[in-house]
Amino acid sequence: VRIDGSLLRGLATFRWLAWAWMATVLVLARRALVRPGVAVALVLGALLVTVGLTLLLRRDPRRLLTARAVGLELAVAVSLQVADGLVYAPGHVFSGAQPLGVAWPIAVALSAGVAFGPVVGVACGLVLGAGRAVSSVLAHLPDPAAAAWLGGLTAVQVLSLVTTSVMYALAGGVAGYGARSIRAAQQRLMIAERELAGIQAREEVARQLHDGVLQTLALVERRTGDRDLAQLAREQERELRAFLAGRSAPSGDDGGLGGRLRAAASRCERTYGASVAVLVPDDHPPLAAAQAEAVAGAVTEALTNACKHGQAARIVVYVEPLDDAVFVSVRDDGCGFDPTVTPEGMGLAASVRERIAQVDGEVSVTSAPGRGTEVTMRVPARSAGPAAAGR
Amino acid sequence: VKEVQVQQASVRRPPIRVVLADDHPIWRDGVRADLGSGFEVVGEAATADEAIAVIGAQHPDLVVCDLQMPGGGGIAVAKHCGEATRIVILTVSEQERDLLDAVAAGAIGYLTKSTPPDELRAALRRAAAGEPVFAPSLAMLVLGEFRRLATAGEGRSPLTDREREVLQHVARGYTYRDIGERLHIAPKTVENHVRNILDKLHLHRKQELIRYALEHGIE
Repeated sequence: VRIDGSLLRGLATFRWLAWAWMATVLVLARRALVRPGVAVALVLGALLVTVGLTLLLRRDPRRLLTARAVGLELAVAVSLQVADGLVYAPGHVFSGAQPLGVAWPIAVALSAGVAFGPVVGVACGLVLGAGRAVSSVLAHLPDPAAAAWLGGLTAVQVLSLVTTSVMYALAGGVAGYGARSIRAAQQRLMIAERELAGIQAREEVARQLHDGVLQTLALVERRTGDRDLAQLAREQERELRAFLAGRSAPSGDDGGLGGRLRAAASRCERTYGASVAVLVPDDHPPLAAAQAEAVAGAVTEALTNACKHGQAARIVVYVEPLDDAVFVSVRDDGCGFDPTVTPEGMGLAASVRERIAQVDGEVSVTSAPGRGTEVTMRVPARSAGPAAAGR
Repeated sequence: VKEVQVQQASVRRPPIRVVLADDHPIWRDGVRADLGSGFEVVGEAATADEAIAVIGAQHPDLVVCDLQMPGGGGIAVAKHCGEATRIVILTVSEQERDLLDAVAAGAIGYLTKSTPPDELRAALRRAAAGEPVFAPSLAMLVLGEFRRLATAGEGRSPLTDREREVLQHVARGYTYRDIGERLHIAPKTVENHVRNILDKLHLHRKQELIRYALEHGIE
């Protein structure tokens, strides 16, 4: 809208300059006029349109781009073009002298382009060109040789007409194309600004919520004896944190390891009511989708096992970047088991091992009765190669 | 039976004198209710300035302080009083670099507000005795900070392998006792490692500030 405004102001200035030029021509070439009354009337008509459109620019610039405004300007411009052939003595138009309506009508081709795009701009330019053609026929009418339509014009005169038409059409087309690209650029700018404003608003909201809602949720979580309520509060807290961090809801994972693990933690909390902390640093090396999926699947198995067989209340899922691998630990405070008696921990290791083995990782399980269980995994980081480029 | 004995032992000791600083009265009420008989709340504050004044007047054993409060929050309190008393930051913030600043400013511990009451009591008792207490999420942050330091400058982590190992175990949710057992060292040694890690963090944050000041021509 701002850029449209400057375009329209430029057009208004052009219109005034072109009108001044037209008035100058009227005065300088007054001896060649055969119908001075018509000429003066048309120049005054153009002045009215120029003044009217300038006022409109101040009051309501949007209406400058309506069919009515452009149509009115086009009507006056074509009248000027056609009248050029009537108000001057025959031959004047092509004698090298300036006719009235050359410059001023360009404005309407530009307006039409800005208002309705390059195609309408070109069409409007062609209409103006046709106006000039009619004008030259009219200029020759008293001459019997002109009875054969344009046959009375010399090749140079026809070429001049075509050139003028092409120039008008070009003006309309270029104005339309330019305005369109400017608008598109502005649209992108506005979207970017809106996104930026959204991010800033979210940061502001985050500051507010941090101090209010998150505190209250933590309070509810801690002080209620109602397990369902505590769990609901924890889930809401998690979703709020995800929103504040600009992530999609934890249930709809973001494809990365962090998103998948948070989603797995949420599901475990909902199903078993345990409290699961997910600690994933931002700087862990990227895993291939299959690796992230295998790790998330293995962590889900470990969480389920911790709740179902370990009766865990609190679980920590921890991810750490190593030089050439990603380390993942799932540790619970549950009842644990004796590895010498239950070597594979109720099939826990089997289900986790299978998934991690598929992505060339290693698994180890540590546990003791009454001391909780920890499942650790180490998955080699995806080697840097062409496949790594598309994260 | 063992638990009862432990409880009796803690009751016989004089209560730990605590100052609570949080701009939400409901939270101060909640924490006071959770602390129970082993603690005595000798002062409360809603802003950093109030907290600094109350601490100066009461000389508490322990300060439980919110990270975000009007007037500079827990960082300001830790800076002013971190040497005079033990400050534990209790906050809902997770994975924020503010926390590192608070710990570097002299806080002895950092716990999240979702810590269950019994764990909170145990951790605060340990903090009052001078033991650094960490939520796993802070341990993760500290590890990340040292990784950043290693890749940014010296190329080598300022932490020893043992310190890193200890920190990793804290981040994985192990207690100092568990860590000691796993690494075959005394819990006291684990505690010392954690204290050294905090000192290094403190030192590096300070060096970073000085480097920043030199680079930007601030005197």
